[in-house]
Amino acid sequence: MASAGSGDEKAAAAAMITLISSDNEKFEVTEATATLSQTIRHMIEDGCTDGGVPLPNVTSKILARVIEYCKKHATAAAGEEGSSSSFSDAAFLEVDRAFLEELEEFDDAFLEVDRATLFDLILAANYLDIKGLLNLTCQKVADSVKGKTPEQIREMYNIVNDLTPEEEAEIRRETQWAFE
Amino acid sequence: MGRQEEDLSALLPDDVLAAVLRRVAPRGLAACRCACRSWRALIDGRRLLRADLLPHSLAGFFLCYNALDLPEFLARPGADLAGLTLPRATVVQDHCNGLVLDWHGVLNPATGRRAYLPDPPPLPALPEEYFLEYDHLAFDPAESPHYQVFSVPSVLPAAFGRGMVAADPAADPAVHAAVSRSEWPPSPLVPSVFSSRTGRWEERSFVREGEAAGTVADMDYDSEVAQHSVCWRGALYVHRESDFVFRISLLEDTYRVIKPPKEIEALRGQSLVTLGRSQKGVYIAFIDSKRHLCVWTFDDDARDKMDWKQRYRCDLSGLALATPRRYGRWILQNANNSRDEGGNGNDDEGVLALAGQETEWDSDDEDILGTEDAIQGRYGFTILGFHPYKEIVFLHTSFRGLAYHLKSSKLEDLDDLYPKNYNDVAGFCARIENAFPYTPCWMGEL
Repeated sequence: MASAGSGDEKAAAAAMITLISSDNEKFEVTEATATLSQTIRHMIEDGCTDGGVPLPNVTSKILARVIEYCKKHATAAAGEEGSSSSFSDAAFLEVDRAFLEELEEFDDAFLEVDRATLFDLILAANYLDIKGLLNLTCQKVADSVKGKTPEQIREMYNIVNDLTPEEEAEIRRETQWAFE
Repeated sequence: MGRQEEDLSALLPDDVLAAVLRRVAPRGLAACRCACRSWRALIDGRRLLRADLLPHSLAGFFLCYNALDLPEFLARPGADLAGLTLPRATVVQDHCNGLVLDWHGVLNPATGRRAYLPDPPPLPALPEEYFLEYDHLAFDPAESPHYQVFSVPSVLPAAFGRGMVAADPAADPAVHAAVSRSEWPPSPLVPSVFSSRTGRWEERSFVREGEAAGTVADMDYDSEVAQHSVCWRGALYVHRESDFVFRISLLEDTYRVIKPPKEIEALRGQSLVTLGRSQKGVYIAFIDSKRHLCVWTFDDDARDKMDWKQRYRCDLSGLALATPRRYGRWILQNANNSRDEGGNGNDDEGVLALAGQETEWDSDDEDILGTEDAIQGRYGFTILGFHPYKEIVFLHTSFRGLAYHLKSSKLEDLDDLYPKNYNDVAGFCARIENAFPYTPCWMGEL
């Protein structure tokens, strides 16, 4: 049995993990892909992944997306390691940049989802502790607020306005500069 | 599934929603604060919006000089002061987290906004020939965008103009005796408080916890006290006669008398004690007769045992005053002189336009005078104030501005604090009467 962190990359790459979604769908992924999730990494380290990793908080629809993200970024991480070892080589730097651009394009396309899915992705990224994905999705929501009025923000996220008109006027007054 | 109709933000745990909102720029956050209660509570609770707008850096010092029309501004190198509005009054009365109180009212120098305050009501129930109010600003934009002005009474020393009041206390010995024997400060203390929330002065009643400072007669010192105050963690600290400090709780309507450390108490108001805010909270400092800079911090961890703790005792006598002076990084703005010379007839508040100050002041290095290249100073030191975020005390000795780094015991030149042509108006009376550190703030009501 190849254990994580043995330094035997081939063995680690070959090791497969089974992830089980809340609706009981099974996904076979490489350990390199799965360990982008700190939560799963800890489970592997604790040796409790035999028989699959149940993820009761993540539906198959969302888990498939998450795995898609992890696969791409796991390859990216491996690619980065490869190129940094021959850092002086201009050709490698060129490849590196092309790869980063590709990754950015992937991320942009990845985020082309409806808001409910976006929020589910945030929840999954949070639960699975995948920093990159959490950053990406949180930033997407944060960007969506830019230049919006409070009314527009409420509309976007179905937020019920529970402030009285007086309270709202007061809050606006507190940061008058932001509404000028 | 109806998911599209759900309140999406309610799905996120607070930590995650905070991670989202933390990425929103201040203007957007201000809009988010308006979306609903829970968002506002989260943004305020975690202070997400305020980080960019809160006062977080020292821009310089307001210095009030005897006989000058305007306060001067001593600018820190690298501080972004373009467009800074200077107070128009002779005297700055107080500064608190980016707001300045002068005789006209409250000014935010960073935004140029100003509020003119109505006159406060007369002191209730206190014979005016014995007492005088001093105004203090309480503003903590991390807690509330509103500011308050506390008009806190002080015992007027007999030598300070009681004779000027029509009702001579000596005319009624019984009243005089009664007032002199009465406890000071009284409980409840009833200062007039102006609130920017209501736009009005109100009498507010604060019940004392713990002992009084003494009697009115005990307070009758023939000396001045710099009437500084500090707003810290929901309390206003006000320096008063005999060097006690009012600790007025802004939330609980109570107050405490914090007696000075023994060394200061023994001097009976003859020392020039400075109250200020620095890295760890509320500080007081004074320079003793042997030129030791003594610094205490206020410890309010235990409610019943609030007291001063000595933190530093630094010998200034062997330090400093290396020649030649190495000025040129901090810059005194000479607002009074440029107004006279400019002659542009601008009666409005002076707006500062600065050039050529690109470098960031690193308070930790450079231009620091070591003890080895120091010579004995001939004149005494006067404390100007504290750096609000680092343990640095600002001083001057015969108008030579200095910063003393408490941790490293190093002294640094600031600038010549003697304004241009000041000699023409002040002559032998030249004196810095008061000084306030200024920390710009872009948040709040004003």
